[in-house]
Amino acid sequence: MSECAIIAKGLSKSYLTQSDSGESKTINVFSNLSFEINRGEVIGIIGANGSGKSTLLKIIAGISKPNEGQVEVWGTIASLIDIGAGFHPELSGLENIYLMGQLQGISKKISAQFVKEIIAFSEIGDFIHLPVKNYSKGMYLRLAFSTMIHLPFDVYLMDEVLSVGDIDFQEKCKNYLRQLAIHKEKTLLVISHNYSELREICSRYLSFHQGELLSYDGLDSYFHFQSNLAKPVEKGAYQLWEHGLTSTYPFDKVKLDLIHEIQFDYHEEIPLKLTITSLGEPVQMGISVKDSFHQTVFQVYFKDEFAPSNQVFVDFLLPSNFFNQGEYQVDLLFYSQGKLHCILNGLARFELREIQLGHTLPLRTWGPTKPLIHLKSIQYAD
Amino acid sequence: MMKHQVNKAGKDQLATVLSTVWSQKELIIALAKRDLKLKYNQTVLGFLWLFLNPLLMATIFTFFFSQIIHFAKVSNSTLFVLTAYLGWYVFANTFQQCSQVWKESASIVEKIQIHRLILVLARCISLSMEHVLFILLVLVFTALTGELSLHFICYLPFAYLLSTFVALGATFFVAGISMLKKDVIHMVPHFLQVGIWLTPIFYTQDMLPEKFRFVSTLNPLAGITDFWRFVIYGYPLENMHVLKCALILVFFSFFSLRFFVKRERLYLEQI
Repeated sequence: MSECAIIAKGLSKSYLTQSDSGESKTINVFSNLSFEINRGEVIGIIGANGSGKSTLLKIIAGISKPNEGQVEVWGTIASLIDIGAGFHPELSGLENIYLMGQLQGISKKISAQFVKEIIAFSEIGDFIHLPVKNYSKGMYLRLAFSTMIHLPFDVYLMDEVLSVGDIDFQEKCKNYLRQLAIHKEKTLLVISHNYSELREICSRYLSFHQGELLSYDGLDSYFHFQSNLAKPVEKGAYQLWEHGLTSTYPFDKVKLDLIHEIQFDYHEEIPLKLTITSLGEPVQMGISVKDSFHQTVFQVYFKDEFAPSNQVFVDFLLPSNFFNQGEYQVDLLFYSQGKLHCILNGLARFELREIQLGHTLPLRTWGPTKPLIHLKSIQYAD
Repeated sequence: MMKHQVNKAGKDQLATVLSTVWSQKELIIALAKRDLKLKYNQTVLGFLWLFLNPLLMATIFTFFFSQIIHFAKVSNSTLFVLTAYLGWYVFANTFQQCSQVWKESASIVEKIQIHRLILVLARCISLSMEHVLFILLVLVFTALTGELSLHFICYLPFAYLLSTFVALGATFFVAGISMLKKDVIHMVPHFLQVGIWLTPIFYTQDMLPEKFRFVSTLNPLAGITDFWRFVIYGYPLENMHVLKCALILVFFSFFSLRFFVKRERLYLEQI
């Protein structure tokens, strides 16, 4: 049985705010939250801005108090709520490592054991003896982040701090954080809007929905829940996606329908039907398919130009044996005279059912596509 | 054994906060060292700057109160002013600097779990270096005039602690009220400017017209400055008055500390 790292019971938080005119108003952030987090879990906290994610972290960190309820934390807490808070510009990198540790409750003696690792990981080199005010922004953040993740805390609270440094450094950080959780049984709570980043490190997700905290085992279930919220699911619901458009567009109405259904198997092709009403000028079109992280999977263009007409109908197929399981949306791009005229986002949505390809590993694979690739392996033995 | 901490609704207990603060002694000392190191960082004179203010004040007072102004009822006017000013300076400087810690620390306390009390205490310690130098200078000056009273000097730590504690009390009082109205923060420098004249530092009590004397009788800070005079060169005291003043101030400081510490995290967002 795994041990608990954090237990919250009936947490509520509201702020008293004052407007310019002096009126006081109470803003209720969340009420009656209860949850448990075990040691070694990596929790992604997701959801819209202002839903209470940062407030929750601040309460867990003990920085701010709940109005009702309580939260218990076992182990020392590292708050990375603002990376580099507590660093003093006039002090050298080395001095700042010690000070940062002390500010968060780790003595100089203990920090000293980790200094070498921190310097190596942050790639600061000889700059470590210079005041941090002479650092570039990237170096400063890298040092601060490295310091916090190497000092021996038990619970790490991170508020949008994962995108520190260049891509290589970010990869290194993600790997390190995974190790922390898996091998050292550290607990991580990570706020981020970058889902693909979260997917690589998180074991579970929490998200606020109307003041309630919901837990998801995977991002798929979160997005599924989100898109169910956006519109009721019934067969063909996605087909009614319709845009009333203003006169700056070269047409009145655009409609993109999934011809039969919205759920598909891996081996099926996905047929779509595009209807454009009152097209006023010749256009060229393309579509762009995005995954549920809103990352483009691919873009393609129709070869022909579409001439002005009362009604234009276009049928086309998206490929089979290509998409991974999950949800996708289709955007439509209009070009006139070779320039991008407008993009209509999310005209149609479709979903790929769970894939069973008969692998021995039951693993869900990452990435928006899952082309039919057979790895040919040749095994050697001595 | 793993650290276990509970953050629950309601006010913090003073004892809990104080014991947390005590357990972070190392941090307080580290922050005080940092303060001192950074204050005169990159200056040519470095720590010599600490001597400048006391030296200047001593020189000015010596000149004015031996050459220009004499108090009829006081044997040594310079000493009379300098010792009281020292007491006032310890209070006023601590009060002002600690109120600044409040502003400066906003970005830290909202992001790291650290009690403001720790930052304020660290500042008190770093300031004490400056104050100790000033005190030494005044002691040397008093010794030169031959009036140093070794008899009472053992009370000096009490005088110092009293002034510092009252300054802390005033800081917490201001911080506490500023949770409701921000105006008090702007009042600090004005309060200090007026206060130095409402306290008999640059004049003796009997120089005041009869009808205004109650001001300095009611002003508990007057008791403190008198105490400093007593401690350093044996200026005659009205014992009961000083005791009353000290008690009032200690109670005031203790209750503002308690009031504030209990609510600090509750109103973090509003301070």
